[in-house]
Amino acid sequence: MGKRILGISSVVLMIVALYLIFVYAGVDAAQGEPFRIFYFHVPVLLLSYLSAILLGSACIMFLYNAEAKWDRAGAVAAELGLVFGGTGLISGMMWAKPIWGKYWVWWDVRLNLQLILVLTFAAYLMLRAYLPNQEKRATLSCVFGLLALVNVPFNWLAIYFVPTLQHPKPVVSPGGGGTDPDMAIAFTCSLIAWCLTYSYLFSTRLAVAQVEQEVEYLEQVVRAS
Amino acid sequence: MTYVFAAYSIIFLGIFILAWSIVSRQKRLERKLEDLKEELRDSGRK
Amino acid sequence: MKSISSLFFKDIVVEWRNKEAVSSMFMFGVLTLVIFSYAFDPSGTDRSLLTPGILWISFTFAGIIGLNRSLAMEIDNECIQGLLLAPLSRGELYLGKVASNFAFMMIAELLMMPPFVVLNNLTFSFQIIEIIGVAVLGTLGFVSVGTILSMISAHTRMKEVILAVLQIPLTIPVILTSVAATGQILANETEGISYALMMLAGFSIVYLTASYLLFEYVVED
Repeated sequence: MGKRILGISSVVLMIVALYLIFVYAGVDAAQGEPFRIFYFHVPVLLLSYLSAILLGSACIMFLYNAEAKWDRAGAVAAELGLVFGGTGLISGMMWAKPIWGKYWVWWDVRLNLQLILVLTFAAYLMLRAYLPNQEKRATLSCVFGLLALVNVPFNWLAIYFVPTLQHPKPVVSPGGGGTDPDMAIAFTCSLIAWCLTYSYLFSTRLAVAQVEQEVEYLEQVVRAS
Repeated sequence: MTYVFAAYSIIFLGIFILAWSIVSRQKRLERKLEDLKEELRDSGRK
Repeated sequence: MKSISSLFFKDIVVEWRNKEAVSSMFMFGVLTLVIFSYAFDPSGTDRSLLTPGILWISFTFAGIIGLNRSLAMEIDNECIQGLLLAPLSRGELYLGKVASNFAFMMIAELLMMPPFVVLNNLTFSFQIIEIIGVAVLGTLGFVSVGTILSMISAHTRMKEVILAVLQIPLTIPVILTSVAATGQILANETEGISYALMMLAGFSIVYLTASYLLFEYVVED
């Protein structure tokens, strides 16, 4: 019941957000039409960071008390993080091409961190795919998740410091929002719509994951007897 | 303007693929449960 | 401490007998050096920018070969069971493996330096010692992550592939920093290099500690 409300409200709010983005808010003075990409691009990326935090916490909780629900939550967070992070990256490239003239800029800190984050999600999911035994899969992928979590500050340090050793500081991608109140409303609505969509997808996927595990267990019982 | 359209469609495409994968997983699970019920019924008869 | 050194010496003795690890790492590293040198036009004027990258790509690939081989050695004949039965804590087992992996990778890298210097027309000066110094820290970081990841991938079906997939994202900071530091040394602009060295040292310390604590979860059966 709660999930249904979540799903319907996220669709409704998404439609409202689209209206606000394309009709209500004006065209950005500095960047023109491509600025509209930010209304979706920024919330999607923020949610991929949330996925990373959820994955890290789930791994810590699983190693702490070994309850399968944490492992499931981590896997679901990684899947959502991969999709949100990947589409966020691609939409960012769609923004970069008209504004900067190129799809990709090396040595921009946020871009590179995002790329490494997506690669890490993909590696985590690939590891899980190759581990058939359920307990081993949970433990080993949680260990990898923690090692990857520890990696994040070092990535930031490396990407931040290394260019200053050799090249000048690069362009930084600007944040969203702007000072225009219409834009702020559209942005807030989009953010809330995406948070609702994420929660809906997360809870549905988590429920399916739980049933999957139970069916796996049932299968073993039936085959054994 | 084409870039805006491309960006939005990629994001929506990603979400739809995710949602579709959830639904297909659910269908697959229901099929498996039906098969398991059949197996149990057959082994029960034997 | 004694158990770690006996584990280390066991690996050294095995390697001394068949010399598999170092020779395969060295061959693969040199071949990578050569192929990348050809790919990037040896006679071009801007080649010097690519030199540190080529060196570290060769080190990385050689390192993955070495980790795979050391992993395979433990899995064949189920040596891992024997090690687990020994009176070693899991963390000591990890440190012993790190020590031997580090030693083999360093030997292979030292052997790769002369071909590297010659093929890139550098001079055998103090620069090379500095580059080796950076390589020591970078290799330590690489191996500290690689050893625990090789144990993780040992449980999967496609062990070598999974190891590479897991290892490369996690060692990106090491490679980035080492390449930058090596480039600085080659260009004789060693101003901010202490940042890079501290970062590499910090990475190694953090990962050695984290893996030491997490290793017991990885080897339980």
